[in-house]
Amino acid sequence: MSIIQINLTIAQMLDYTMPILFAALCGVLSESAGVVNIGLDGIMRFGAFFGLLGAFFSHSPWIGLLFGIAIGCLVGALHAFITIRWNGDQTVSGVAINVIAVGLMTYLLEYVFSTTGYSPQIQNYFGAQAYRVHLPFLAKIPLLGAFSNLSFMIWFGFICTVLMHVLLYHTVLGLRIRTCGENPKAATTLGINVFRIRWFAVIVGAALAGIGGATLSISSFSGFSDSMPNGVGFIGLAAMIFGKWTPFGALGAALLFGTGQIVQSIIAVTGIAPKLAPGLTLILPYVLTLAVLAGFVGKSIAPAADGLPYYKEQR
Amino acid sequence: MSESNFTTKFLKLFGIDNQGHNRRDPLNVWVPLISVGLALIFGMIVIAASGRNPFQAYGLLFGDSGLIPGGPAWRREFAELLIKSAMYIATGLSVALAFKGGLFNIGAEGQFWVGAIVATFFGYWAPVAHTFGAMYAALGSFGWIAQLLHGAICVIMGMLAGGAWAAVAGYLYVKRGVNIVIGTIMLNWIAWFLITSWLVIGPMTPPSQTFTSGTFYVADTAKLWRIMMPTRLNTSILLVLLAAYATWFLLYKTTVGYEIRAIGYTANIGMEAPRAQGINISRRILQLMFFSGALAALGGTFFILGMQYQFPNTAIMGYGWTGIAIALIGQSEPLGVVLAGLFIGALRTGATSMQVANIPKTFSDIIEGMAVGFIAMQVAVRYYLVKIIQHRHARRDPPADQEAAA
Repeated sequence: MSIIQINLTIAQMLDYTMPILFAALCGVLSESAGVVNIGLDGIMRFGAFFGLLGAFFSHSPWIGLLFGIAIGCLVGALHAFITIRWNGDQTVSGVAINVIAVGLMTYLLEYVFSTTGYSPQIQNYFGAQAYRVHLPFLAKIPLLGAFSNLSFMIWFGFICTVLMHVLLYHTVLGLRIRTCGENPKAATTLGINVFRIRWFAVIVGAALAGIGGATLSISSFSGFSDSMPNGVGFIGLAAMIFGKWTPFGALGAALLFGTGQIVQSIIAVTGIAPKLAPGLTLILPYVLTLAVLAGFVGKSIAPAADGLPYYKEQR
Repeated sequence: MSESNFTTKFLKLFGIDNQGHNRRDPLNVWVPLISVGLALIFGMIVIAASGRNPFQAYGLLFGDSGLIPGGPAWRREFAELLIKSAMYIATGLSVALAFKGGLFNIGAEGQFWVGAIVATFFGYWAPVAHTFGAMYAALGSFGWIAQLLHGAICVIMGMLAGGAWAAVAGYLYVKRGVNIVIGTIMLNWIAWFLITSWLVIGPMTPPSQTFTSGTFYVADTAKLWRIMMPTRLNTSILLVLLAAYATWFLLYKTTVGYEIRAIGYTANIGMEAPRAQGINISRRILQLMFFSGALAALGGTFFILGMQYQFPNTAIMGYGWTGIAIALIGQSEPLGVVLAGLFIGALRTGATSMQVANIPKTFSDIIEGMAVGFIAMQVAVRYYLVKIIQHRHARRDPPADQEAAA
């Protein structure tokens, strides 16, 4: 396996990682504030379709990215409206978003492009050479060479992780968000508006999931397929838990799971094992997550008030 | 913002706890009906917004759903409706039963497929299939006994496997504190990938076939009987109605059911009352998950033994998610689940013919999802319902209202 092959494999792995990472960051932010978002798989599906829609009609992936963010915010606002304004069950609301996403995106795909299964391919996407971030000085260095020619979205994912860490652990707002997730009663006592903080966290988180969906359709691939996101949102959910509800933990978990996704192709290239059942590598994220949750490998604990609607006068 | 303040007060006014549970509340019937109605209206708006005729589309949807007798294809459509509904009711019962115990079994999907693959295995596995094949030949006109036994073995083994799969999530919850929603989601995908990316394209594929052909076909003796020739309607609908009755009986006529409901009512406030009563909560939750998984797996066995006769390589997820929608629309009551399951089955049957009007058959997902969304917002639906009722009373009888206010 030559250096070039290794570099290509790393770059490919990062392509798989980023959608998982964005989904995981959505979960981290939303659940830090105490709102479970099972619907992030559905939000990714929205983001993937609308991201492609924007990029297709404007011939610019940047517009596509904006579309992904906008639709993410919209669906996030719906989730917030149901779960925060009306204290609806957060899991039920998430299921609703997932199911609507399945039906509505297929409908829109057929309506807008008159095709079934796949949208037309686009030329101007973040994976195209013109839109890649070129760092020629890295190209000669082994391993780091993989980072010399990456899609913008990959760097954006790393940046978002750092920003999220700073937001959550080094700002007042972050402290407030985490308080709302751990003990909303105490937050209210301190004069924090729990509802406003939760609205903020859910909408910004959903925008990240929308970006994750757009990453699938206009960065990792150059088109929308009806099977998207194919459970990536749920892998993101797993990555969030495996990363113990922290941004950098989510990044590590997403990298690990992204590697798991392409192990099959690595094996094929290197010929280590001629034939391994793909199912056995695909279940890796879920098995690891269960192991962590069950405390067989380390221990992962959710924010204390995660998933509970907040009633101001409840004692 | 004072919405929460006001919401809680409003709920207390009607004796509803924070989860909206109150069995005697007449609004319990109205909330799902209104949710489905609103979802259908929104579906019309979606169709109209995309420049199509919503009335023509709904005409096709309900005309070919099998609900309305008459027409040349009605018998076939009615059969399809019942075949589909049988599977959805099974997963719906699974989710509903878990809801009654305060658990959100989002894993009906995985349990469904586990049941399906195990039923397939016992349907074609040579030692079993040959035994019953020989028995069928030997019994002559009493061959139906062999069919009955083989079918029963496939169904029961599938249900046991599905129940065991769900009980894993129950075990992790009870012994290790793993949130049941997260646990069942993870087990969903583990089951799905183990089955579709390993078993179906590897060990269970006939050696001479390509990997796209699915598993072996089950033996003739394992197939469910057809009860309305020439349609492919089979006994699955009768079995699932039996399962619905059994679920109702378990919940409302047995001690176990009483204890399950006691756990469910207090699930959000620490389950102190059932614990003080001496109920073994851990054991009951494990049993509940087992029953719940077995019901979902029952639907999976119908999928194989009644429709496909093999595990196809083209299976698409969604039965468990639909089950969640059905359990919510049916308000977790067995009778409600049966009715909701028939309705969704009808939607799905009719949706295939909407393709004539260029509307993809996933349209029924939009309706389902929106109905679930409105049920998630049931506090809002209840609030506006009560407001409308109060408004009417005020108009009809103004002085009384003023007295009450004073």
